[in-house]
Amino acid sequence: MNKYPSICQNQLALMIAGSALMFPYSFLPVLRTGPANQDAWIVMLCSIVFIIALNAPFLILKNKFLNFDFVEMNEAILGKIGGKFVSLIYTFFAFSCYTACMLIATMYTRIYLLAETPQWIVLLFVIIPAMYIATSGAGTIARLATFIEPYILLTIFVFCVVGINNMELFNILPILKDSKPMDIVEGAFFTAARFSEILILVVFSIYLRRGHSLNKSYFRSLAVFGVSFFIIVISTILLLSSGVAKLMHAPFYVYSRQVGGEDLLQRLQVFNALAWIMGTILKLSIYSYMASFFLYKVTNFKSQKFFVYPLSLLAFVVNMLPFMQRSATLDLFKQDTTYPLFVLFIAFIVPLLLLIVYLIRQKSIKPIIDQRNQAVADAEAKHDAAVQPKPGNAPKNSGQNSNEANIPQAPPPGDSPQQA
Amino acid sequence: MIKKRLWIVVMIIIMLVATMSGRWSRQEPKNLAIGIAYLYEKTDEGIYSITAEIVHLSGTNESGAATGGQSGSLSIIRNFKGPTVSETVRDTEVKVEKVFFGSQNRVRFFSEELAREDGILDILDFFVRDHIADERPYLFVVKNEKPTDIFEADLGGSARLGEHIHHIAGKRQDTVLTTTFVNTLKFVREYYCEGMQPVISVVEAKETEAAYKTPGMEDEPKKTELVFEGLGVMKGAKLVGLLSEREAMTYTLLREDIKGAHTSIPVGEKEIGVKLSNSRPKIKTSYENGRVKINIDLKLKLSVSENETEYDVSQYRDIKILENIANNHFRKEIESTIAKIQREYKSDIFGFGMHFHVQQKHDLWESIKEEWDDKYFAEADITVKVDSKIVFSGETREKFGVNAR
Amino acid sequence: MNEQTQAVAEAKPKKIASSAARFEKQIEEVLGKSFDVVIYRFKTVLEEAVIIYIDGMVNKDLVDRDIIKPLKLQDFNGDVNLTFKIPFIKADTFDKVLTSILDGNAVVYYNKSVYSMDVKMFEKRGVETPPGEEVNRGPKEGFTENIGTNMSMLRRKLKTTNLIFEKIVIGKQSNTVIVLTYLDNIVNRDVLDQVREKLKKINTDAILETGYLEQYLEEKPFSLFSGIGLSQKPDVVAMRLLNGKVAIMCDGTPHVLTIPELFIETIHTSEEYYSRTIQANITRFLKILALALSILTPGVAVAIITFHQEMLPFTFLITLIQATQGTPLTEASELFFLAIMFELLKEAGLRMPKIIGASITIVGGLVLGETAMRAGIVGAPSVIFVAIASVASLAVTNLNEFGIVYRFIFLFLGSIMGILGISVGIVIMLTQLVSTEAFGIPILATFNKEEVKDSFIRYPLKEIEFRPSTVVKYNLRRSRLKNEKGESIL
Repeated sequence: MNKYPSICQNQLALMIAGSALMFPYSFLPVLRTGPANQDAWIVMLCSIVFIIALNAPFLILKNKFLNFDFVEMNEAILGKIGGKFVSLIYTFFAFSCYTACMLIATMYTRIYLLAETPQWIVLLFVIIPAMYIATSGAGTIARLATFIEPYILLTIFVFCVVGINNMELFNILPILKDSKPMDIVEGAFFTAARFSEILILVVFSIYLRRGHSLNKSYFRSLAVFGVSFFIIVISTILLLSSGVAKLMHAPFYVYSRQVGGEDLLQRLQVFNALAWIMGTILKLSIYSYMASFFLYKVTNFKSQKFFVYPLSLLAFVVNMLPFMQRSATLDLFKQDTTYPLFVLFIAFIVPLLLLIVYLIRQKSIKPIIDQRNQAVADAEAKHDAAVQPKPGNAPKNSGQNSNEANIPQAPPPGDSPQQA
Repeated sequence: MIKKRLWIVVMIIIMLVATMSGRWSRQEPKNLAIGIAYLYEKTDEGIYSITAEIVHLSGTNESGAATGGQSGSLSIIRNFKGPTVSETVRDTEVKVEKVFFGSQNRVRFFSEELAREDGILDILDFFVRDHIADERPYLFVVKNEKPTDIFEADLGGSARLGEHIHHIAGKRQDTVLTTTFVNTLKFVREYYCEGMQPVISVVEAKETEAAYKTPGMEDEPKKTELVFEGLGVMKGAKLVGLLSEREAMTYTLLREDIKGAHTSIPVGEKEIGVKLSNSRPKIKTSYENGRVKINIDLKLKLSVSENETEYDVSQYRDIKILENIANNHFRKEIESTIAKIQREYKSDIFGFGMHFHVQQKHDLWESIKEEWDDKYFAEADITVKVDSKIVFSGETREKFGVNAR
Repeated sequence: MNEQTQAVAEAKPKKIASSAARFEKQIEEVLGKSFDVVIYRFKTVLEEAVIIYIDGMVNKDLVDRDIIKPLKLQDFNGDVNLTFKIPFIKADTFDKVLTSILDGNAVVYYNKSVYSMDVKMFEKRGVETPPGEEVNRGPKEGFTENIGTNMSMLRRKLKTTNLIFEKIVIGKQSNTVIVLTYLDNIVNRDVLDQVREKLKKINTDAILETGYLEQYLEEKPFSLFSGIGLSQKPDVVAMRLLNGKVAIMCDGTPHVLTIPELFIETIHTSEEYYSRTIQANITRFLKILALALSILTPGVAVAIITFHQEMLPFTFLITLIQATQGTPLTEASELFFLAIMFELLKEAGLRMPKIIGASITIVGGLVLGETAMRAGIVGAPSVIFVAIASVASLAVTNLNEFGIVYRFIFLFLGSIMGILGISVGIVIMLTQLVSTEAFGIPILATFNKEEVKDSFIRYPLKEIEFRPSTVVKYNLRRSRLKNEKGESIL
């Protein structure tokens, strides 16, 4: 169990929120689920509740297995073979997400930004940075997220503020009249079902620093995600009206085209494009890291970096298949019957089963957990002792003519600042 | 170590090969033909005929500054034909030297015939789908019999038609009372709104007295100027009628935000000139016995800018009389316009259906929304109440010259 | 015994000879070939003595007055403690004798023992303001080539017993004195141990400058950041020592290394700490803006102009078309060509003598740009973009190589792939920055609550109470200016 690199809880929160925001930023599926009218913002608010409910099994499970990484947790619950099998399922899931996000990225680039460029060159430009980031390790991903995600959040906020002039309050009326409650619940459920980022929390929480809590980062990420998602939905509906926005492939990009008058700020869509491409590449690298990490832990072969290359190559090949280059496939992906159900299976049903198995086998699993917790606590105590300086530590001078007085002094007990 | 270097070399080779091997989306700006105004017509054979104004740049002089104004014309007018709009794009490739670029488009004109008979839906579909064209251009219906006359109108200083309209329409819209400028976003938004029909702006190239004539050129043929007055009433994407400037005032008072627009109110045989500001009217809808009742409550703020009458606008009792006159005047205008639209055009451009949708029960709206324009709106009882207040009277109190000598 | 001096004494006798004449012969075998070594045997009251020193490295007045004269005139029964008038050290082995002589000490053989005295005096440059690190506010003195002067300048800044100077001699032919400096109660022990070990392992001919050390110590020769910083001013080095870093001084050069150097410090200058808060923040903001502009401007310009003309305002597009209508090159090639020309101009301006250099740069820039436009080779917008980038790059001179490399990378990426290329470039640049580690410390770690007070912005000095925790692992509190409630006590 390697605790290095270490991630802060805020970094983890930003990673989760930023990765989850890429769907609304790209194609805002909430406009087409459920009632599919101007009440999409209510659907979005209800979906937060569903997200917490759907993620509960995974969260509870991981809280019990704090010092285990994901594959070890599966092996502890189901035994070696069962654990490996479940981890392979998750590998397949992470790889599918990787491929699907790559599909979205290339399709949108070819629709909105670079119309005549062939698929393979856009794919290449998106895969290579994702590969580079995934091979640099989890610490790099977390630090990168600290720089990229605030920029994305800033663009969302700035676009909302700049577009206020053109917004019409009437576009969200009548509130709740046109939508049946069942439709709203259905829409909220399917929107929540797209939130697959709980897997990121579960996989990266092993790297959290001491004193930083898993639950805090989850709820902070939900807060950030909720507020940004809300801003995106409400500004798009207010400016474009839900009828027009539903029509577009990328409503938020079309929104960013409208904002700004002829005075100081115009043509802000370039910032939108920048933010969206950077966020998508980060999301791709996170999924690539997860898939290669699972494979490495299951097979114990070489290192995590080694598996990134074949996975990326496979994803490239899959994305070059003819059926993946048609925009109809994109629409298939956007519908409620494909992606959300897949994520639901992975992020809710399988963890629920795991939780049930854990509760049944609790007595036999407990000693493993205790043993691991003890080992980690011992290692931490040893590390603390090693870091403290011993008195008189400075070595003697090597060389002659030492005219300087050399009185080593024991360092006074230092106090560390309050960490967030 | 060697393996890593090999990887890097391989990747660099791939990137170089990939990037040098094709031109794809790369486009030099000097190879662009920028179209800034388009006129859509349909010929008798049913083919689209698009007349486009393309920016013509004559290059730089020695010091690198732009010299467009002095040497040669600033825009070229070209005509393209094709059975569908996208096929006219194909026609541009053989007629224009450079690559056609439509993103800076300012205005789309439609001939009245096209708007009435076929509607503009197909054309809009092309533009909403295109990733380069955005939602900024203004939409106009051209009233002239020969629509291409607008390209010959005298623009009074501005260089190109597209830019001229862009500047006029982009100015402060809250002082314009007799027309409104509709851009594609507004049109598309209103089209998709249930219970609301879109409107479209109207332009006409009219002959004018030689207002811009230079001395010594009296023998020149009469020039035309562009006149923006009135509005076109659409039902769906088809034009069903045109409103005059007085009738268009009703629309702007009810739907737009007006601040400080100039108009005049007849008082007996004289008139008072006022600056008008409105606030969005309160619209109450109700449904009884199969008929819709709509109450409009409009509040106006007036500032007197020119007083031809004998009334003293600084006295409270005179103000009250004038306000009553103003209320009646506006009420009559609004009621008569709405009645005309109900009778002749049967198209709810004011959005009463939208308010009905918000205020009434959902099931009721669902049951009547299909026939809203033709039946329920056309037969609705509409009452208007105008409450105007004279707020300012300018710098003076009583009328100028009354108490002199 | 220092192994570096073995090369000097090829056939070294291990023992010091027992008579003056034989000692003189021993020395002559080793050092006699150089004529600046003075070997002088003379008679004293009791017996003969030999004095050896290198002419030009000793203070001859002191030698005559305090060593030779007392020996010749007085004799306290061989009690050297009363004879020599200056402090002395007894040298036990022949190697130490040789090292002593080469260091510039005077060595006396008397009464079967060898004594070495520090009488060094040689020509050296005075203390001047180092060019390239000039400030409006703050001390203007800089290090010199003499390590004794440098150490004393540093000691005068940090008068504490915690300031440690460790001496290491590196270089078989040069025997350069390298001094490792740190504050014992603050320094990062990991980094210190790693640096010390690496320094001890260096086995080479000569260390002429700290640049050699930098290149021996760095982990990845081809990366843009070595994690090793450089400075010529004592107050800057003192500040870095207070932040837990290790400084390496080298005899013979005024440039002092500080390890590790975080990325954010390449943007900081010492002046920002001496100015007030608002001034400092404006300077920092301008620097970061300059960095962003210098790297991104040509690339983003070419990306939008060549691929996404729909993102340009209409009037600018018209001006652009008019300006580039007659030019033969594409926009990307124009920017590339102009960027190279500006870099060449900068280099030429640097190498020329000061007065000619400045005027050549200005005149060259103006004339080149203007004439190129008139000749119809480039258009005006290209010149402006490259000029903005070049001027901005002059505001952050520390990151010159970084800026140049990335400017061309972004230009290339923007011209082949538009905004997609630029975004990919930004992501790769950020990844490279955050994944670089110097001696185990990431150079662009994300800032926790305390570190952010002195990163891209600078909080008032009263608020910065802790040292940066990326580098310093214990004893983090720098100042205590707030009481328990969090209010300032000043």
